[in-house]
Amino acid sequence: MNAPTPAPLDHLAADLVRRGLPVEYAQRAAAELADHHRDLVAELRATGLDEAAASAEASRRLGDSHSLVKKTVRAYQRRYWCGRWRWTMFVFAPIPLLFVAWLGTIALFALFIVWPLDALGFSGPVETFDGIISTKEWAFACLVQAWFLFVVPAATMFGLARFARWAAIDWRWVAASACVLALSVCVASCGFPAAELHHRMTDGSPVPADRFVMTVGLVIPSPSAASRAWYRDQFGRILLPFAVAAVVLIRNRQLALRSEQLVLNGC
Amino acid sequence: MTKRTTNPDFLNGVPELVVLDLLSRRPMYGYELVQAIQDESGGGLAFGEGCIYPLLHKLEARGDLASRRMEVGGRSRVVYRVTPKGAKQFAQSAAQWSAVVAAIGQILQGGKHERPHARSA
Repeated sequence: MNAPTPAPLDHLAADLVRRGLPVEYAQRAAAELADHHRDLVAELRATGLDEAAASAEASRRLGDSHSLVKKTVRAYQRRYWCGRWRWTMFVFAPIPLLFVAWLGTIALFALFIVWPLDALGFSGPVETFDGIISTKEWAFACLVQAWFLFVVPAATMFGLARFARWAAIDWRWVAASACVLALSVCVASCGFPAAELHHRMTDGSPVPADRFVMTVGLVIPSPSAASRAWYRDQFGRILLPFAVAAVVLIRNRQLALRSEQLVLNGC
Repeated sequence: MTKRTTNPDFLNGVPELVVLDLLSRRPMYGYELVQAIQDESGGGLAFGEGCIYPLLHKLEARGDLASRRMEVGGRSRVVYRVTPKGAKQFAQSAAQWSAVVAAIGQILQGGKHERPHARSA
């Protein structure tokens, strides 16, 4: 049967779980520290100290609960690359990761859809721009826009949040990634040229209405010209990474609370 | 303001070396290991007692140590031992450490001999 946990280390396992460590690891670390505390008390009592003085001295030598939690969590985080290089992973890497994900999907699309169709002789006629957006063109634009501006950034954010969870990284780093991704997605846009933005070709002529355009750069139309749909789209894109991060973090929090119950129940 | 007593920066990697050395002699649990470090170093190496466990867990995650819960002195303890991978790692680290100590010793000794000569030149 396990001996009772020394009072100064009462909530250690629960604190470790709350900081994102797996239950088994938290319980084991807390049990080892509690054992160590008991050994120190026994050693000090053998020198003639009473129980209270021995316990206080043992706690001093072992370190207070707060610093033990901090050291244990940091050591756990440092096992993972993303825990050792948090700035790189959660602040600088999201933009390159997003680009890699975009390029990766283009490459996969070309390799598994365009190239086999071409090889089998199913490639369609050369695209012409007649200024009329057909249903097919509209559907294609919606699909590409949804994929590039919503699905890929959301998947990237989800991946980063999962990395943070594995390495027990603080939610602030996930929030930083969400900010970086939201800004990156905000400056990229694709779709048919909005009339109020007056897109022009390099020769100065207006871009045909059915020509799919992809642009990178902050587009801020005048308030009178910008449509409600444009603002809705921009806000949607900005909020999406935050929404994904929030969902993952809330889910983690629920799991941590459930795990905390397990720790407290000694399961 | 009280001065923090920490080991100097050049001791990075030394705790791992010390732990692997002591555990390669015989399996030990955390408290026993802290005692062994103090005894063997004559109190020269100050290990924060709570810091030993993150280090042991790191070495275990790396595969250099293996642990087992065992009954020791009437109590259940997590006892650590060095794995073959850890033994190999220890041999390499110990050889590197000896080489570094020898090289630094030579420089420091040489420095003492050179200084008066440099001044007179």
